[in-house]
Amino acid sequence: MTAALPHDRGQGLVDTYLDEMFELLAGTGAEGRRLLAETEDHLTEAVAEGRARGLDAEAAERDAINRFGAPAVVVRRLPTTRIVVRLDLRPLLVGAWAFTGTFLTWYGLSGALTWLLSWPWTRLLIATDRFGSTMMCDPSARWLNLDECLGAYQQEVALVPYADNDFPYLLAGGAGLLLLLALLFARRLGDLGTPPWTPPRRATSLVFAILFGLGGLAMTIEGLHGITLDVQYYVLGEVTAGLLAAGIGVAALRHARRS
Amino acid sequence: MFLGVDIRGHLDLLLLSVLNDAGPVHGYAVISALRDRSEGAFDLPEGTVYPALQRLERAGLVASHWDEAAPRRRRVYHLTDEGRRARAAKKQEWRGFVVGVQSVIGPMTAGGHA
Repeated sequence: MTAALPHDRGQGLVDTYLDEMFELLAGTGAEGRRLLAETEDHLTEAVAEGRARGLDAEAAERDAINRFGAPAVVVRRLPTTRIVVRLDLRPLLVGAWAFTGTFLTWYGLSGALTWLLSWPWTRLLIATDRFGSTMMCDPSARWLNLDECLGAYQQEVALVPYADNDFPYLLAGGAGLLLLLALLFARRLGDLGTPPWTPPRRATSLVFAILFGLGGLAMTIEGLHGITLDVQYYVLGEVTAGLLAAGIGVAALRHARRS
Repeated sequence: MFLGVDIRGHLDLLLLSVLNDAGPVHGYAVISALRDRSEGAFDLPEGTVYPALQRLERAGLVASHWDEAAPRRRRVYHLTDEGRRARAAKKQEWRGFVVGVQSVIGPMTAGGHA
């Protein structure tokens, strides 16, 4: 009769422990592989010793693991030549990377899209001019002095980029997309796709809930406030976008509570 | 019994001493010797011994190799010459520390109390 190999034990407590340690050791190289091998040897021997003392299989595994210490405690003591990010900072780093990429993509591409839409939209405004109580252009010169009128209208309706707004929206959007693509590849090909590097779903949902919730609330209030003002061109847009954002925030909050 | 004593600051000396006395041994034997010789006095997660051994090896105080001859491949550790010198120095430091503490708190009585 041969001794049972570790993989013959099924997914016992020791296997679960080794799986957890394996994930925590991501990025630690040869030192990590050696620790994992020694841990498996140690636990196998400790379980055999426990069985010899009369413990059943589960009790022997539990005793061996309890004496060995939590995987995070053991891994934290591992000396390594490689740059290893602290365990508790790993999901924060990936989360900050994802957030920066998303923010730049959203801000840059929404600015660029607005800029593209501003041209036909502003011409439509000039043609119809149903909004302004102040005369932005001499009606007779609207189409004769179009550039000046376009600038005035764009600035008035807060479309970007108007005259003095030279923020590089396309560049920001492109950089954001590159960041997100790099993160996608890094997660698919490297350690960043492993659980120790992945932000908890609950935290991700909470970030979305807070950002969209507060943003939605602010936009809705601003939109409703616009009703009382003379110029109400943004009321519908602000209220619609605000309620949509608030809805996303509530959905994210519910998701966070379920996680 | 002194169960629950935190030995993190003194682990190097304890490991060097076990290796000095036991000769080339694998990690499990180091931990068993530490537990048996201290009569279970130290509150130490056994798993933390392996990173400590790696750290000592990196410092040149311990050397190790995989023992392929054993029924199950195991890492065997032994003390280097530098490790022996370091153990002697640390032991000296510890003795001096103990003498200093004892001179403050008073000598041990027969019942084990100061």
